[in-house]
Amino acid sequence: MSRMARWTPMLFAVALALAGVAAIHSAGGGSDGRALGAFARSQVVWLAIAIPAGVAVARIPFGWLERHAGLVYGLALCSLVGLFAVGDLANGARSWYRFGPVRVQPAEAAKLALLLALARACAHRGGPGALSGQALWRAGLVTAPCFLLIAAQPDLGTAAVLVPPAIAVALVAGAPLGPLVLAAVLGAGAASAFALGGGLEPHQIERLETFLDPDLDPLGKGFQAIQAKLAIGGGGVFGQGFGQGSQTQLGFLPDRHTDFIFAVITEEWGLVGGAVILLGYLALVLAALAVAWRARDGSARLFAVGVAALLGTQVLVNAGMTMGLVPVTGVTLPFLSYGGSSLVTSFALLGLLVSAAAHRPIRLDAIGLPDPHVAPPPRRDRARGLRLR
Amino acid sequence: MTPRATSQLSSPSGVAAAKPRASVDHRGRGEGDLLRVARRRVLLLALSSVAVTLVLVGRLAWLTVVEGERLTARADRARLSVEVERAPRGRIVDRRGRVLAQDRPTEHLAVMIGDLDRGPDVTSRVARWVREPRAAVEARWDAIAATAARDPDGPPLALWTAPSAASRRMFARLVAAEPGLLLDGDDLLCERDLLLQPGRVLANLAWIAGLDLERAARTVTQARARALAIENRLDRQQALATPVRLREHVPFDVACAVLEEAPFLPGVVVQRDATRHYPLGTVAGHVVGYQGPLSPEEARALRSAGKLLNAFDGGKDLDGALRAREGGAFLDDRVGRQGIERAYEVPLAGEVGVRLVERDRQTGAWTRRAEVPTASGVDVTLWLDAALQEEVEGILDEAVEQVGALGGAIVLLDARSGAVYAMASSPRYDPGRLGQDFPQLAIDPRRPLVHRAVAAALPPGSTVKAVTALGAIERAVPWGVGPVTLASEVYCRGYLHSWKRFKCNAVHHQVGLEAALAQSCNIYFYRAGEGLGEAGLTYAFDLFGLGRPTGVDLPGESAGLIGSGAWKRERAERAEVAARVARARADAAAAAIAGDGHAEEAATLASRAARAEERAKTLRADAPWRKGDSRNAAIGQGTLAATPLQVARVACALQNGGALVEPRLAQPLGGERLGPPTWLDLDPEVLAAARRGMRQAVTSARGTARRSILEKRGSLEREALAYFLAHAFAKTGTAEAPPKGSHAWMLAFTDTDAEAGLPPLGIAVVLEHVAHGVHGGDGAGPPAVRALFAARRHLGGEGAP
Repeated sequence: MSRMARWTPMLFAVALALAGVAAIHSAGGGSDGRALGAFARSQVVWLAIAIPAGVAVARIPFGWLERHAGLVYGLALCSLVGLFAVGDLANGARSWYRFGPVRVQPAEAAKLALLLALARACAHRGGPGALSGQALWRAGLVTAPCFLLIAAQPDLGTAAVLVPPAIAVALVAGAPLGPLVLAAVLGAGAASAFALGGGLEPHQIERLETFLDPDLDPLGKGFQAIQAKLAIGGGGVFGQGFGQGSQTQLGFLPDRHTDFIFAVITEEWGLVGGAVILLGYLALVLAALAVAWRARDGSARLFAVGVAALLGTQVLVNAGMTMGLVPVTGVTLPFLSYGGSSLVTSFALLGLLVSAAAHRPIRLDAIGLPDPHVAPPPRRDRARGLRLR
Repeated sequence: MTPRATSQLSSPSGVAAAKPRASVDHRGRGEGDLLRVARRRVLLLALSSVAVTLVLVGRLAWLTVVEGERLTARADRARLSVEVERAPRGRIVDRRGRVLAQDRPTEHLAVMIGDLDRGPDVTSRVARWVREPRAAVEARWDAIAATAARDPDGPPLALWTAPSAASRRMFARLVAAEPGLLLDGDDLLCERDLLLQPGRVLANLAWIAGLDLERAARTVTQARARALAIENRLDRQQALATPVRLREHVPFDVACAVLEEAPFLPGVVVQRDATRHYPLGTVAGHVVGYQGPLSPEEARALRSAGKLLNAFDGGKDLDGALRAREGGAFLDDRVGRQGIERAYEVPLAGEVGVRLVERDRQTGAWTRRAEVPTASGVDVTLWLDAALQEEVEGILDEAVEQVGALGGAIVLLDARSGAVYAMASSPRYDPGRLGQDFPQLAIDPRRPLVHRAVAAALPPGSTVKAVTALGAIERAVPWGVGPVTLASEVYCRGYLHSWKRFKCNAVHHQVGLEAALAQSCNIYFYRAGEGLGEAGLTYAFDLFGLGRPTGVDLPGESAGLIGSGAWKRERAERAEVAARVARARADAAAAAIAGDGHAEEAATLASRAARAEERAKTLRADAPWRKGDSRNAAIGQGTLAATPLQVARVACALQNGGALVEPRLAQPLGGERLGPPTWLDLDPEVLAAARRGMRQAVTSARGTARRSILEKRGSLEREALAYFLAHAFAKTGTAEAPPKGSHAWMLAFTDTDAEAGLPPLGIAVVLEHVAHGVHGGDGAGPPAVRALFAARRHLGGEGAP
């Protein structure tokens, strides 16, 4: 991959982040005149930190990071464990560390570490016989501690976002489809048994109920979902105009600069603006997948797949909840939502992606060993080749 | 893609092809296979991400395009509110701008029960420690406070259950700090006393405004309990958002003090309102009238017509509110019930303003988006002169007292236009004090609530004699050998046939029209009435506007009565029905009593029935129209009844050459001129003769007016008397008021007084049920003299319309 082409995802992300700054400015500039653009200013500052951070991370050789993935992941897990002791309680969950005025969400960094660990754990190494059958349980084993720690905060939404990347990584790592589907079914069954068995916190049950019928309590728990839908509906095709969204500007939309930034965008910029943003994310995901396609090293490929899956899942969950397709959770829209931790982590993620794209494994064939990254010759028997089992 | 990258991507296949498989996995898959599988699955992921994007964009399009309108409407509904504002009511002023009725601002203290703090500040702390919205804890507090209000002596009530050990520790701390709180396991309990304690805000308000704190707290708790008992959630919220009045009509300085402290009194509102103020008190009380609340029937009618404005207050239906602008009212509106307040209700009320406001959910600020401003009520200017009115009322009251009458009325009209310069009725009431005085006024036997000038239909007596004469001459009724003419005379020997019936007030000998009017000779008019008969009399009286409302701009006007054969028959039938009903009742009572107790009541009923039967018998016998009826009606007795206003209008018609004016109290609102009077097409010569006769009543030595007024000259100002004798035309009247007693009448008019700049005036004075021995001239004459002179002083130089 060319030196420039590697940076494509980063460019998409910067474009999205700038759109996000504009939307946050508009969302923060309510009619009260107070704190006009304060969030947007802060976001610009974070962006000024996050982009160089991403670029800096891109300089780290992927191979070196991969070698230390276990250590990184271990540190991340420690930080998650530490939350239970000294975490800051907000909205009924301990998800934050507070350092004076700055609040840091370790779950964001943990995502990054998890992707690295997944890539390392599931990548083909040594004998090929070790690979595909093990990918699934390896992925599961690596993800489980992180998932459980985040789910116990409790932040089930963020934890759930980790599942699709793990599955995607296992998939691309060559996990057999049968057990994968079986694992998915079992997982879903276990989740619903957990939910029905009273494992959910009351507020989580309420969220689910209000997702099923937001009008159950339009001024209480269903308020966000309804107001977000109303904001989107009010946008029409071309939107109400920048800084003109009535739901946004009059403060009817809760958490509008964080979780519900997508509603702000669609209310003010309409279907066109919303679609452009969604296509921007699609481009970002496809660019990450392109890195995966071209990667010459198993772990780099799996890491790229993990990045693509994580970003895609976050967008699906966030935009989906804004539009009433999935229950309301605290999952933010990467690059767009206000929030320093998320921004820095997301850019760092892309930095790693750049690094992974640039990763050149030692040419095994050059030293006389078989190179697993070299595609085999086209087979005569196409039908057999296409069979996965 | 650079060429190098492309080659890297494409070339390895060739290389790999050349190589032997280094290794295979347990299924025999080589590493090359693995890469292919991986790439295929990456492609699968790419395709699924495209699919997900399509789903998201599709959902977005669905929401924005297909559902856009519905969602926008719903958002608008939540954000926009319709406010309806009352229009200030117009004033009522006299011709010189003196205010008779006006709105005066007043302030009420109210609290928004949903926003007011509850008892000691427990709810916010509990909310913080259990991590629930404060509103949820407040709702629970309200609910148990309502229980406590119903039964203040019960055991403590549970406010909240601690969800965790941490919050339980916090509860324990709270219990230690706040007496009245208890901890039972994980449950935080509240003593009922604590629940009923007024909040800090209420206590402060009570201190500032001097309220009874205990009562205010009770009011608030009860209102909250009522609101919380409402099942429907939206209605409940509406009820909680409705201000509850703690004190009405607070002094202005108290309202100011509360407003100054407003930032520290969240939930307290000062409501601005207006009360009707009548600065002149009883002056023109009947004319001005009063306001009253909507009756339940009216409210129901308004509601079913969609015109009840309360429904739109804070409501959402803009179109409905705009539709209700015309003819709509608030449930607590006061509307005109009597007098000008009622007659001019619509222009006085104006039109409510309708505003569409947008709410900022964060700051709670409201912004106006669209507005139909209030149309203030129009000021109604009367022709009345308040000073003249006051003086005339004084004159009337004095006269009523002097002659021991039940009541009386004076109506003073502009003879050309019908403009009412004074309209006094005695006894009177003060519309501003009606609230306090009403119970007493309602049972007063003199019936002060009746506006006698327009609502009292009394036999007009001799004041209608001119009408009879004019009708007879115009119809040329038979008179001896030929038809009656101006020159026709009659011989008066003091009675018609016998002394018993149809007598005259004196022996007038030979009298013509002029002398008959001047001396009020009954014989002449008996003759005229005989000639006219039932139809002729009805024609003549109707011509001068008797027996039908004048169309004056006041409610409750009586039509008066012109008796006829048909009317007499009807009256007899009614009496018969009444007698039968009375008899049936008496019989039932007689059958019901077993002896004691009710015997007295049965006897009363029986005697009542007997009386009713007697009356029915008399009336049945009297049912056909007889000659005697014609004679009686001709001199304004018997079956004829007229209001003072109708009589004053007759005076005007005699003055202005035969035009029937439409009396008007209020000056035209739009500045248009008064409508033209109805010309009666009378023979000017006959009219002139009648005028001469009425002038002679004042000037000639035997004139009834002159004689009786001079008798009373001691009580009259010299100038008034001189003015009257020099200018007035008059006709006295003494109407028998069965079963005994009489009404004293005086009809008079003056021509244009160029010297004093006075328009022609018509006046009617009546004293109802005067003492025995008082006649029209000596009873009603002096007040007429004084009122005309007062009019000269107050209206002189006016020119008037």
